[in-house]
Amino acid sequence: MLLPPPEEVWPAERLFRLLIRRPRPRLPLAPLSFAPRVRLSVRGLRGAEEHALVDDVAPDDRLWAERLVVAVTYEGDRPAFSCVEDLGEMRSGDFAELRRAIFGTKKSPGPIGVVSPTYNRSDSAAWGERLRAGASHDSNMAETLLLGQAFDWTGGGEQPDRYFGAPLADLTDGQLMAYRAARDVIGMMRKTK
Amino acid sequence: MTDAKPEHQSALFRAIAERAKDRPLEHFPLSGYFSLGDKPILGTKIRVPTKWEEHNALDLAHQYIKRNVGEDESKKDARIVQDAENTAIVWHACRDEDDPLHPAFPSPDVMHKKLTSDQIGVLVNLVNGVRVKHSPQPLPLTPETLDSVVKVAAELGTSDIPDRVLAGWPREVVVSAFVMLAMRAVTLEDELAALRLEVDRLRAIAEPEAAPAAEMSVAGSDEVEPDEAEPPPEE
Repeated sequence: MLLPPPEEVWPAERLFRLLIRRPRPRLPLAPLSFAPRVRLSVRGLRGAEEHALVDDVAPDDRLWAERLVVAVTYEGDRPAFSCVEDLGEMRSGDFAELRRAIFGTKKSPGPIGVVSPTYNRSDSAAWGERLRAGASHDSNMAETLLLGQAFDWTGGGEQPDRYFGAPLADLTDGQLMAYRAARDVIGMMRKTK
Repeated sequence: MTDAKPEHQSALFRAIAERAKDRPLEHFPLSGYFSLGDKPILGTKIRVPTKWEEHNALDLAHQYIKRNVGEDESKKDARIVQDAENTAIVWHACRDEDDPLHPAFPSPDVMHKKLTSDQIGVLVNLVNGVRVKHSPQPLPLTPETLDSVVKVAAELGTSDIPDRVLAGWPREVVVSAFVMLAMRAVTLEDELAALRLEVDRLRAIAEPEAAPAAEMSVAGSDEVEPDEAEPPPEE
C-alpha cells in the first residue's frame, strides 16, 4: 500500500517547508527512555538509498530495518551509528523502542514517513497534491518563487540543485517532490497571467 | 560489537555501551533440565538479549540447520529456522545461576539434544517475560483496558468473543492480566472474609443466645445434639 502524506499534524504549508530543508530534511525524535538526554533526529533518504542498504544480502525485513535505523538516525550533524555493528550491545527492547520512535505504528506513522517520502513507497500523486497546496501557501511563496527559478521556462531543463546547493544525486525523493510541486505552482501562475 | 572503535562515538552509542555493562539478571528455578553427562540444571539467571546476540543466534541457527537438517528443508518450512533461532537466543539469555558470565547450557546443540521442545518453549517464555519486564516500553495494558475486557468476558463468556479479543494479546500481556486479576481476587476474598467476621460479630451482639450454637457449628463438631438427632426408624 502506498503511503499518503500525513494529515492532521502536518498542514500542507508546514510539510512543504520541511521537505525543502537543506542539505536534507530532518525531524527530531522523541527522547528515548534509555537515553533521555540524547537528542536525536531522523534524516531523509532517497528511495534508492533505502533499497541499496540490503543490496548485498538476502532479503530480510529485520536486517533492512536495522540498517535503515542506522542510516537515518542522526545526533547533531553526525550519524549516531557508524555501522550496523554499533547496534550490537544494544538491548533488544531498546532497539525496539528506537525502531518504533522512527517508524511509528500503522495507526500513527513515525517521523520517517513524514521526512522521507519516496517514489517507491509513497502515494506520490497524493503527496504532490499536498505539496502544491503547501507551495502555493502565502507563507511559502518566496521559497516557491526561488524554487521556480531552478526551472528553465524557455526549455533549457531543470536544475533544482541550484536551490538546494547540493548535487542532484544528493537530493531526496521528498526534496524532488517539493521542487516539482513548486514548479507546478509557478507554471499555473504563469498560465493564468 | 566492534573491536575497532570509531574515532567519534555518539552520545547514543556511549549510552548503549553503558547499559550493556549492567544488564539485569532474573533468577528462575528449573526442574527436569539436564546438561551434558545428565548434570541437572536447577536454575538459571536470564538477561535481556542484545542485538549482537540476536544476530549471532540467527548465524548459529543456520549453522545448526546446515549440519543437521539441510538448508533445502529449512526453505520449505520457516519454522525450522525460527525454532533453531529461538534455541540459540535462549542459550545466550540463560546464564549459569552461580556464574552468570557463562551460559547455563554448554551450547545450543546440547540444548537440542538434551531438552524437549516443550522445555525449550518454557525457556523461550521466560526469556520473553524478562524482555517485557525490562522493556523501556510499558505493556499496553491499563486497568481501564483490563476492566473493559473483563466486562466483555463476563457478559459474553459463552461466545467466542473473549477468545477473539485475547487472541491478539501477546502471552506476556495475558500473564500480566492474569496476575492483575489474581491480585484483585485475593484482595476481594480477604475483604469478604473480614466482612463475614464482622457480620458474625454483629450477629453475636444482636442475638447473644444464638452465639453458642453458631460457635459450635463453626467448630464443625461431628457430635449431633440429642434433640437434633434423627428419630429412630419406625418398626
